[in-house]
Amino acid sequence: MHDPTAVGGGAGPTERRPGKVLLEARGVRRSLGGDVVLHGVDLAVRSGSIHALVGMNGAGKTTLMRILLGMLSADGGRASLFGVPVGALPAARWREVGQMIETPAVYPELTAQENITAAALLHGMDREGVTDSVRRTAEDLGLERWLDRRGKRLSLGTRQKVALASALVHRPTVLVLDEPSNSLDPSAVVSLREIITGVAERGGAVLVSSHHLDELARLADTVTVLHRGRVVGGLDPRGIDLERAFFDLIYQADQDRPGEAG
Amino acid sequence: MTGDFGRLLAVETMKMRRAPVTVICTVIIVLTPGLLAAAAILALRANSTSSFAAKARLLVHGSGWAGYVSTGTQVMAVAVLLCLGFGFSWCFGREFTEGTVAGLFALPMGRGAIALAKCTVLLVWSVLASIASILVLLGVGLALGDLGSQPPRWWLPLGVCLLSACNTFPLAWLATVTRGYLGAVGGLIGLVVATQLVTSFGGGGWFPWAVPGLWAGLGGTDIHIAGSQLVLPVAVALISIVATTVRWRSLELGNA
Repeated sequence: MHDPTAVGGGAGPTERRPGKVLLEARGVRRSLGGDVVLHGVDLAVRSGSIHALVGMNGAGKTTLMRILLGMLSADGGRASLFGVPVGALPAARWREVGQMIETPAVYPELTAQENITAAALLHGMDREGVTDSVRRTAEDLGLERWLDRRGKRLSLGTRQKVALASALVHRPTVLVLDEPSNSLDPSAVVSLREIITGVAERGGAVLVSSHHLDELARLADTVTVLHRGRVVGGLDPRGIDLERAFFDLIYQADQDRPGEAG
Repeated sequence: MTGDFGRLLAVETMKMRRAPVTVICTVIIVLTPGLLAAAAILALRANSTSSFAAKARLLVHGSGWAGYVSTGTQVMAVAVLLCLGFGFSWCFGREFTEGTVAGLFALPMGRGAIALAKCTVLLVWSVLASIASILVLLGVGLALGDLGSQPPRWWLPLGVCLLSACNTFPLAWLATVTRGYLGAVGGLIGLVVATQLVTSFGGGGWFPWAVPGLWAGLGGTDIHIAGSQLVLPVAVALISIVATTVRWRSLELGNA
């Protein structure tokens, strides 16, 4: 468990031992609306590790995550989960995947508990185990007092927690989170960090994107910087000034490709 | 029910049961035919000269139970098309409009199965609402009294309701293609307008969306609907279910 008061890269996850690759992109290319969004991106997330994906708005982070989860097809290259091309992944393996992509969407007519229960059932959990899992996940995220409240009556931050709980309730092995700490209160950010760390410590693979570099510095084992659809560098966040290293990479990428700089 | 499809049905049922859209549409389908038919019969019995009574004379064909049930069935044909049409549009379109569709990806069950589960729940809703509507129609008729001793043709409103429900399945496909319920609601309005136009030009018997209403007597007693024409809405439903399921199987995010 990380010390929530630690700053910078000093709380690096040295005790985790990254294992085999569970989530992988190899030369992934994709165009949307005539614009090339991804130019042959490579990425590998290993079991027992937390991999951060950072970049400016429009860098291609969400598109890459969608492709890795089978939400969007790649124009070229290969995306795989558990070593299997994502389009051919068997149902049993999808049960081990949790994701929160896009803005946190909850069903407004359902209570928070029903929203999380629905996610648990959709991920293949048996009804018998769902109630306990929902309660446990809600406790982890500080959601207990909101469980009986309908989605339409929840604040943005609480909806974010419900969406996160929906991604976590079935205890996934592969977890993909797109800007998960947006709208969360400081206490929930700490809880989320502990949950994500717990997934990696159980041997899972976590891919997380965020604009909060200080948060990622405490959390991630590896940081991949994506800029204008290209991987422009990989960083080990331990013991470095991540924010400075990030902007150095962006600056260098713009120098290397001045024609693409905005 | 167990298994992935059973879980999908459980989740879709929970969403439908909780939705205000479902409740409002069901109330309209269940109550409107019986109440409007009773009002029409009472207006005729009172020999009223009101504009409602004038319209009632156009709607009520025959006397006793036959006239009453026929009137209720005509209302059902319209109410089911509009209310279930709105419900179907919402059920599929809301996933896009409210952004909840992202949670339906990366699951053990395919997205085609999700679409099929939605269609199944909508079909069950259609049947239950139709049965409830007919029970209320017959109950209001009994309460009204003085409708004669000839038993009502209860199967006519049931058939009309189910055929009207069949005609709303294309809206599920349209909501998917337009990625929202507004496009499908627009399609529903377009269908109503097209039905009026085609019927006024005499082609309603072969236009699936006009068939239930004409069978119920909305076009008057001179128009008879053949068995082959009754199959048209069923074919529309089957084709739409297949098209919607195929569309959901190939659905992608961020590629609208």
